[in-house]
Amino acid sequence: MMNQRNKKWSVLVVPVLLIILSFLLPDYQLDLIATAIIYGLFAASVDFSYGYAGILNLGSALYFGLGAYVMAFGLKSGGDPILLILIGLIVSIVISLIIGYVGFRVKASQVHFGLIGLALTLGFEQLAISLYDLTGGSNGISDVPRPVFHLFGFDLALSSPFSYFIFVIVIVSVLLYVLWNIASSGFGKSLLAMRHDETKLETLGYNPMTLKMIVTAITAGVSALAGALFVPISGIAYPGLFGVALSMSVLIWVQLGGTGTLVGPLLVAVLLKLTESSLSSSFEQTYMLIIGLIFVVMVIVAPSGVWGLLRRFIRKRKQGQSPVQEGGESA
Amino acid sequence: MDAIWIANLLNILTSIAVLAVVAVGLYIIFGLMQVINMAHGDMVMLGAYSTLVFTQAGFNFWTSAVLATLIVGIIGGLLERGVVQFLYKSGNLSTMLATWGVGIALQQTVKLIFGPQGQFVDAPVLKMVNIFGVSYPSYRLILLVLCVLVLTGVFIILKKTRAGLLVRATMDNRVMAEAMGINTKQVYLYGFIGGSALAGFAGALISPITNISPLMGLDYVTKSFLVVISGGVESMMSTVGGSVIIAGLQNFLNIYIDSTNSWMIVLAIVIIVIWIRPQGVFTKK
Amino acid sequence: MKHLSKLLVLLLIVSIFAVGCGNNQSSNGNTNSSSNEAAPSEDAIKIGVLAPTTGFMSTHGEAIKLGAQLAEEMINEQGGINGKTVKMIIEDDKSDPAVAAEKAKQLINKDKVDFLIGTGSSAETLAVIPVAEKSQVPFIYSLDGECKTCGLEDPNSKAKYIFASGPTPQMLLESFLPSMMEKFGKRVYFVGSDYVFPHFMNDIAENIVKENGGEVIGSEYAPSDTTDYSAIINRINKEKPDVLFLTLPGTAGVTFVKQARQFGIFENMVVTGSATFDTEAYSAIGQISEGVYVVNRYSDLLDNPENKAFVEAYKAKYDPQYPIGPTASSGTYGVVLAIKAAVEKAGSTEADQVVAALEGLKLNLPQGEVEIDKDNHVFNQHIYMMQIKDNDYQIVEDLGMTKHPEFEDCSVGQ
Repeated sequence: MMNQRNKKWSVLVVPVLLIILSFLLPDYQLDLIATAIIYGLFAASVDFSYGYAGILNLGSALYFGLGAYVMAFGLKSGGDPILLILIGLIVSIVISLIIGYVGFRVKASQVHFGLIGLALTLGFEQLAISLYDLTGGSNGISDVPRPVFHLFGFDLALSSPFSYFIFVIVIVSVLLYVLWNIASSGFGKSLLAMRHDETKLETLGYNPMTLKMIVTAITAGVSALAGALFVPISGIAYPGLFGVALSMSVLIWVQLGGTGTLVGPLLVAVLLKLTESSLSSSFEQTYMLIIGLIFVVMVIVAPSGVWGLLRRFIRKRKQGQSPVQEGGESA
Repeated sequence: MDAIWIANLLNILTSIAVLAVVAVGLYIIFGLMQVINMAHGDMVMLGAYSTLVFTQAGFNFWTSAVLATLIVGIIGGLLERGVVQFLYKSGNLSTMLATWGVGIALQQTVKLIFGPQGQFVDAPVLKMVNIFGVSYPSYRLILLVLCVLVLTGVFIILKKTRAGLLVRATMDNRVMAEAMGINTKQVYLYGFIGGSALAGFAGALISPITNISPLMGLDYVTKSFLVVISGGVESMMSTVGGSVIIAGLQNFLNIYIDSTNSWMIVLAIVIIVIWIRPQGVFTKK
Repeated sequence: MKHLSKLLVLLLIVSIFAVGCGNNQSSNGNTNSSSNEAAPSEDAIKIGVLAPTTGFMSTHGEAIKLGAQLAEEMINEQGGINGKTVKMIIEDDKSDPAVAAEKAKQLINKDKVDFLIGTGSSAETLAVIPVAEKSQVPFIYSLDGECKTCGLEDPNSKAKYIFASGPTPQMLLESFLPSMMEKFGKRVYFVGSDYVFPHFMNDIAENIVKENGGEVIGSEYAPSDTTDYSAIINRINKEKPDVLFLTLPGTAGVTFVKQARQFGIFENMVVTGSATFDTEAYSAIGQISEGVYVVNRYSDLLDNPENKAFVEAYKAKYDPQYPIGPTASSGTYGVVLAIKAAVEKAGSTEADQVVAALEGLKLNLPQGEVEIDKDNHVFNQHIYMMQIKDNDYQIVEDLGMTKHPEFEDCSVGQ
């Protein structure tokens, strides 16, 4: 759907603009925005499996948490960040493949995969608390230093919020671009076809199981990367990163941002995270309730999210119909 | 047998019975009607909170429990009419997401009203009774007996009565049932009311022995889905069997190791079970 | 679909600019140049309060907030500190360590606070400590818990800007446990929630019991969200210890006590614990914990002029539902008084001078006499044995002034 040239254009321009912007902002603000963008990447990775392949995992935070903990533990003991990111990636992918292999066996049921994911992330949260010699328990791992990369004989120290911000922007842009390309490739098309009609895809010679496993592994990998990126900013990894709250939030971001758009969930995650941090605490609770309710309404009236509504809205306007009614529906 | 073993055994039985009541509620909604209700655990939570509200308003515990069951049944009905009925066509994923969202909204509402901290309901009877030579809290015994009675009742309703027949006919083949003049819409509604009421009933009963908090449903929704998945959906008895596996195993292991590890072991076993028998342990095919 | 992608780019940029600029305005002038930096801090002394008013520490957070607000009001009514008014900037850290670190950065860099106080759980505190220490802003955390005042690099030296106002487990237990064993018997059974703090607490407690000729009959841990303690209760009932010592913070304690009462534990032994029967949880544990022994640093029944003034003002301002002035409120109030005394002594709000003034500072707070240890930055304070009776924390015994031994068991950052 998306114009290829426009896409490449925006992939280049947005990061450049953000980097220009970063010269104007104070450090703590850079940290805040970088964190929000990392959550955005997490949302995009979850959208990749839910929006394209129709795989719903209720415990996505599992991979985010794993990536974060490996990074925190490793940086704390002076490990090489690239190696750590890779370890987090591999661990997450292996676990996701196990869940996938078991969960996808019952073809028609989405529940199996989603629930095993949920149950496991609950278990890992508990483990992170009880294995306190390794994980710091409920206190988590704190005062994690920012990473120093050793690349081709150069030492690249990302010790300031500014340099880390630029690093995050670059990594997220690259990953998003890659996800985007996979999604618009033939592979992505077969995923959409699978979401539509699994049996038909099978008769065309594809193996849905393999497709699902690949998608799950990609999502797990990118989520773990997001988790790893998250740690150096606040300097901590803690059991809440495996929490149900985060798994819920990411689904809300995906649904509100529009499934199968990658950028939509990213945007919504960034926006919501930034608003949340500037909200007063008394409003905070009501705010969560309102977001929850909007979420439910969206699932019912606009399964493809704000994005889809907007698309419908524009299409209708192009056809010369009155847009008022449609707008009313979305409000 | 050693006295402590009898007490342990009674504890295990109680936990199985409570989980079985919640899971059978889910079995009706998910197993029979194929609707994924992620807010099922929050029905347990609402049952407990309703009991809290009624006992604080001065009602006797048992009256409160009955009222709580009714109220949660009605909320279940509202959930079906207000949300789930629009999603039968959009499929499982949408229902799963929407009910998950309803769950969040319910938790937030309860948090706003009661705060995030735990709340407590007093047990209606505090005495210990002597059973098989051990003294055991009488409330827990009553809880066990009530759960077994309710499970038997549900079993009879599903197997022997016309209502059960309608449910089973609808689930077997919706189009055929409609052709035969069954109002399938109503069957779905009543199924939801019944399933939710069971969860609410369990919530009311456990309110005096546990801490009531907005997130307490999470544990139950995860466990009861695992029960239904691992036990299979062939009959209500497979769900009861699943409860024996999950709650029984966890509480048995709990005697020897701490509960985090026992939960991880149970999870590993469940994953292996699903691996070997994706259709469920207690399924004949 | 050209429109969409352009719209998208626009939206992203606008949103980020909006947030950036919005916050830039609010921190007007401070971020850009250093020439006018001193101007705003001259009007008022700013204290950043990290109060977890939402999330699982919310009852503590609420108490911290009330204490801070009361202190602000009382100090300003009496003419402020050195003629300057005090301004509390209260932020909710949502009981989440990542949010706590983020809010601490905001308070320091955007609001330019002179001091940081508050935080609930150990995790929040540990997340804020590196931020405060590196930014050179004095941070006095409120709650009790393991010692966290040592340096980030060297656990045997003090951190320059970190102070602990609550007692450590060593301080709470060193004379409380021997006194309990003398009164009720030497066979002690331990139960704790399965996370760092209870393990730590019970390990120290078990050592003290053994050193004083007692016997540790059992030691168990369960996750803090356990709903059924019946297996543990069965084992305790079988062993029949003299004293049952619980470290089950938050609602875990209530769940346990409730079930234990049904199993008849209270008839067979004396129940006590730490961090389990806190005043903040009283609304939930009140009735069922009648008769339980508690060890802590504060009760509203303490008889001293500072406490009378505090309790009176607290009741007048908040009309509390329960007859208890929460420990976290009086603790936070006390911390603010300590800051006041130190700023007055130093004659400045400059961080290093205030730290020097805080070290060795002696003052009388609602909880009694307090001396801030100049070697390890922990508040040396009185500890009381109390019993929950007649809806209040009745003082059984003043266990005297306690002091944390150097940097024993201090760890920051795992």
